[in-house]
Amino acid sequence: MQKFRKLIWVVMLVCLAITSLPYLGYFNGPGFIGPFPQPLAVILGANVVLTLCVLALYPLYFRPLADALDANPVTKD
Amino acid sequence: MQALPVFLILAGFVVVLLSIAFLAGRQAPGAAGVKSTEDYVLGGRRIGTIVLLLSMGATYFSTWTLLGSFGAYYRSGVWFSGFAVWTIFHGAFIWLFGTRIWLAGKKFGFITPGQMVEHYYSSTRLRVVVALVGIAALVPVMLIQVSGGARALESLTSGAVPYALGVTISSLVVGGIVLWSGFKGTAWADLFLGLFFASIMIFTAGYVLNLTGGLVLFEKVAELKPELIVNPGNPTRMLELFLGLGFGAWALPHMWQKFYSARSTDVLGKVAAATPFWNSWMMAIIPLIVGLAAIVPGVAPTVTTETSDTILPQIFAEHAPIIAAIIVAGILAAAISTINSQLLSSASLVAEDIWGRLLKREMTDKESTRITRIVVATLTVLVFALALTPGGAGHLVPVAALGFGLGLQLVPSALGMLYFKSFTEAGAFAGIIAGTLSMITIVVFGLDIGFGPGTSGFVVNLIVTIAVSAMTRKVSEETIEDYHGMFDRYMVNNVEEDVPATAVPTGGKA
Repeated sequence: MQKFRKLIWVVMLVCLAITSLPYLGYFNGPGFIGPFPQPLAVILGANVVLTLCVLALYPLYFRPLADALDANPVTKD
Repeated sequence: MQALPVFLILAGFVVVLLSIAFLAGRQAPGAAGVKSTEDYVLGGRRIGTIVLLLSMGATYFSTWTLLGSFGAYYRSGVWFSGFAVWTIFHGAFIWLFGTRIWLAGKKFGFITPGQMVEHYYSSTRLRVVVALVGIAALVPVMLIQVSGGARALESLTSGAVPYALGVTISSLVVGGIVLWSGFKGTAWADLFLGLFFASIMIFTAGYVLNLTGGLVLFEKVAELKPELIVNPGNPTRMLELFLGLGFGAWALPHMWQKFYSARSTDVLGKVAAATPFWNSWMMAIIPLIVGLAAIVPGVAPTVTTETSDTILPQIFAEHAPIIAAIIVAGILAAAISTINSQLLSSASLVAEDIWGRLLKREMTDKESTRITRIVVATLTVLVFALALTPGGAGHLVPVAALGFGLGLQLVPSALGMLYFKSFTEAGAFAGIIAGTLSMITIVVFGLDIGFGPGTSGFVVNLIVTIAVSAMTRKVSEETIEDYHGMFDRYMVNNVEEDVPATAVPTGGKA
């Protein structure tokens, strides 16, 4: 599980880096990938992966935190 | 556009909005003279998933989304699609920053970001500076919402809704909602406004895709304006947008207080999970479709580069004038849903962090709520009066851009509280002053140093914070344990080792 958590953050950073490529002149041709222009297709593809990563944060991080808080609530000082 | 339908739809919209805020305010704890500041400013820390999601979304996406982002795609093409990427990261920021802010707020009962700053760094001066920078960041943005929205209404209705009337409606509705029902009424009004706003976006996407023949619209754009389907570069400009509107957004006072307001971290988690769909796929991708569709002949024949910020109403004015009147109400919705949270947040900063410090004693809840209400009324009048000055919105656009950059200057001191134990009070104070002065210098003298003023100020801020922190007195061990110890116990150790929740020791003062 721990490796999977680290993998999520690595994938997110890689996707962020990939989305910057069209701004640096890579994957920025006039052609199309499916119905989308190449630079847009790269960004939309990375966006799909990023969406899945953010969805995964709930079971991987928020749920364990909520369980920990249920077991030991934070009390106001 | 005919005046009568516009007036009728606007009147109906305002009545529904005020009714929702009134009912929410009546149900709010201590309504009609709310007793607790926590209830008035943070909804009693009992805000659930749907209301928080729509409130955060409606607050973040302003008239700029409903007007400006469509025009940005029309003018810049796929270059602007980076917008869709950094809005997804808002979900990750809720985990990275929002949950820690929630934990500290819950444990110590903070109402404003400044209270957390003062408690952590044991520094009144830093609290006041953070409050001043926060207000300086929010007030110009509020002003632009009021004046920009009113100007758009005047232009789109050919003067049927004059600028002064638009400003008056926005100011009265916003001031009324916030004064009457505080955070809870504001959040429920946001829920209505967010749904209204989202319905317009989804309907428009379907409508223009139908007009252009579906996703073939990208091929049509490639034939008409091939330069729009390749990225012209300029990565530093996109970085400035990412840092200012993406990375810095969580540190702005009104967003910070939304983290405090969540009923639980589970609520924050569900909001984070829904964020990519709301923020990116809807609020960033739909403007891409509509903005590029406006290039296709027959979709928006009246649009030019100069008028591209009003693509949405122009499309409907051409094809379905009655819907254009609803879009006009949507523009008002976008403005109101952004200003109301900023107004309440700014007022609480003035009341708690500035007025409270001048008194040199703790205010009672009743005093604090009363002062916050007075400041809400004062700020509403101030924004209303400024919006009616001859300069109007035009002269203040650069100031609004400065506002977002100023929000970014709050990040390093916040990172010290949330992550970096080595950041000291002197470091955070010197950093925020140096960063703010740097960006003001760059803006005032129009310096071009390769990066935008917000990014440049942030870099200076971070360097000064780190350098001064290395030479000055550290935050006390007890405070480090109170904050970073708590974060480690609940958020790091708990997931690092997959320990059962029951094994998490309470530790510290909790």
